Amino acid sequence: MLQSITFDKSAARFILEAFEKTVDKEGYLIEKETGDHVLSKNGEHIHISEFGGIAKGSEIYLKSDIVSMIDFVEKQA
Amino acid sequence: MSLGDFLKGLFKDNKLVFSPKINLSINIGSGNNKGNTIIYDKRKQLARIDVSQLSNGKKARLQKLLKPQLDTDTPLLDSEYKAKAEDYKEKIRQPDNQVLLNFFANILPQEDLNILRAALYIRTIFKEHHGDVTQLKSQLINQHGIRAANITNLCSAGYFESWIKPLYEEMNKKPGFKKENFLEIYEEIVRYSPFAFFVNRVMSDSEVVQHIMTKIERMKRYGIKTLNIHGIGHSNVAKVKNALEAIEKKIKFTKSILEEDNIIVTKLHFE
Repeated sequence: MLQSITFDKSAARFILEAFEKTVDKEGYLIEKETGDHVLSKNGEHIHISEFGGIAKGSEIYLKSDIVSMIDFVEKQA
Repeated sequence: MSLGDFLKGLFKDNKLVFSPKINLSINIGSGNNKGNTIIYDKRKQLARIDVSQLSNGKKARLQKLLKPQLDTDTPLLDSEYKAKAEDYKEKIRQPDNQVLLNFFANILPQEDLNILRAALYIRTIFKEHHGDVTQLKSQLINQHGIRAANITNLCSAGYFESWIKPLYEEMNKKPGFKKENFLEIYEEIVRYSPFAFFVNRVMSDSEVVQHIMTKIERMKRYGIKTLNIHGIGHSNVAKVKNALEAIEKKIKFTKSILEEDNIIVTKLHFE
C-alpha cells in the first residue's frame, strides 16, 4: 500500500518532466510543448524554488508559500 | 507495469527484500543515496530512489508510472513542503487554536478565517520555538495585504481571545443582535488596529492615561492623527471615560463615541 510520494528539490525537474513540464530561463514552470506558464490555483506563475508539488484536480500545481500550503491542507481535510 | 512492480524490480536489483503488504512511502531524489539506486528505511517505511542512478529506460518508466498516482489521491509533494504541511496540521489542531477557529467559523468572513488560521500557525511557531516568522508573515501579507498584517498582530497579541471573542459574546447577549452589528465593530478593530489602544482589566486609570498619551505622541511623530480606544466590560468602559476626561485637560482633540451596554469604541482625532 503506497502511503505517500515525496521528492527532494534535486528531483523537482525529474517530476516536472513526468508531467510534460519544464522551466524557462528565469526558472518559472512552463509547458514543455507550448512554453506557456504553468499557473497555481490562484493564477500565479510558479518559480522552481517555490514549487511545492502536484495534487489531484486535473493536476493542481502547488506553490510553497504559507497561504497555498494552508489552502491545500484544509481542502484535503 | 505498476509502480509497485517497478519498485519490486529496483529492490531486487539491489538485493533487497520487498513485501508488497507493507505501508510504503517513496521519496525521489537525485544524488541522495550515496551511489545506491534505492535505499529502504525500515523505521520510516520509506524507500528512497536516486534517479541519477537509474538508466534512461528506468527513468522514463518511473516518470510514466508517477502520473496515474494523482488519480489515486496521492499528491506528489516536495519533501520540505510535506513536512511543513504536517507541521501546520499538528499545530493548528492544538485545542486552543481549534477552540478559537470553531468559535469564529460561522462569524468571520472566509478570507479573514484563512488569515486567522495562518496567524495562529505563525503564533504557535513563535511561541513554541521562538522561530523567525518574518518570511511566513511576508508571504501572508503578499497575498492578503495589510489586512493580514493587522490580523496577525491582533492574533499575536492575543486580542482575538481577550477582546474580539468577548466582544462577540457580549454583543450576542443583547436581544435582536445581528452578526452585522458585530462585524461593523470588528472591521473597525481590524482596519485601525495599528492606530488602536485596547484597555484591559489589569491597567489602573493612570496607566491607561499614560499609555494613551505615549501612543498619541508616537503617532503624531509619524503624522498619524487618529487613535481608536476600545473598552469592554463596565470597569473598562469607565476607565476609557475617565481617561478621556484626563486627556482632554492635556491635549486638544475631537472625539466620536460608539457605546453599547458594556462596550465602548472611541475615535480620537487630534492635531
